[in-house]
Amino acid sequence: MRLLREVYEFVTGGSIAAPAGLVIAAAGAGLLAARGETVLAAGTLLGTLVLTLAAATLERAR
Amino acid sequence: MNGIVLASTTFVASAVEFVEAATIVLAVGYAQGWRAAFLGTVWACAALVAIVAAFGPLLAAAASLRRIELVVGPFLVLFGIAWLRKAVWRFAGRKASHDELAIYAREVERLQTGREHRNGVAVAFGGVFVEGLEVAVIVVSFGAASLTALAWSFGGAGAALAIVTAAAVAVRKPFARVPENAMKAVVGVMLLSLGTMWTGDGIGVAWWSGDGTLFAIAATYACAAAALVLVLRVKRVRA
Repeated sequence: MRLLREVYEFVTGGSIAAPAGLVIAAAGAGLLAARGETVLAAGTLLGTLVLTLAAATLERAR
Repeated sequence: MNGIVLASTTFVASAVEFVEAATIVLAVGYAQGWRAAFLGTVWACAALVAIVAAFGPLLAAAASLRRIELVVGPFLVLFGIAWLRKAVWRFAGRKASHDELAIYAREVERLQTGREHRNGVAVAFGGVFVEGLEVAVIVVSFGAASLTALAWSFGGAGAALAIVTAAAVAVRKPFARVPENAMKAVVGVMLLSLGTMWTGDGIGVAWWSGDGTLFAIAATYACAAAALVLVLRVKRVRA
């Protein structure tokens, strides 16, 4: 359990917003790409990841 | 993917981490002798090279390019966000900047209390290995795309190691004037941008102008990071 937590900390820096946002971004863009909306998928991926960066940064900035 | 972009990213990431490792190695050399510092550094470098040599080609051989992009891309995104948000916090004054001189003084004091030779070797090994591990992971991740990509990223890390080592041997003092935070911000933007492109490629999105889109993505993230620094500074002033 401790090892898992260490790996999680190493990869995400302890952020909850970053992996959550990444999953939402990839799922949204993946669905659009599967429907053939590949350019819209690119915009969705980038836009959602910018919001993810903001959420991860503001998450612990006290 | 442009090899120069990969090499530049690993070069800057490695330089930042090796500057931090050099502080610990110099403290060991000053407090317990240069032999202990040298031995610890050599063993740690050998361990890091072994990790890259073992896992880089293994990942490249294990799966098709598209599948690898789906694994490595999200990983680079998470790594990039972790690097970039720390840099934003430091620029906004929400996190203390890395003070190499203070770390050096603390390490020397700690090492002078226990003058056992093995202790110095272990501290130098630990410093170089822990700081270099993130770099090794980044190099292996880039190398997963192809052996050429591995060679480019390994070359960037090797060049950084050579330059930082030569500078450390020449000045024999911690590097207090290296703009570490700016370098970390650049690495964060590049990791996040490359991760975004690879994740997108893996799930089948069409980038507007191929690999050239990378620079537009990097500019987008850099602007977002600058905006976040401003937001945090304003919040701090109001608090």
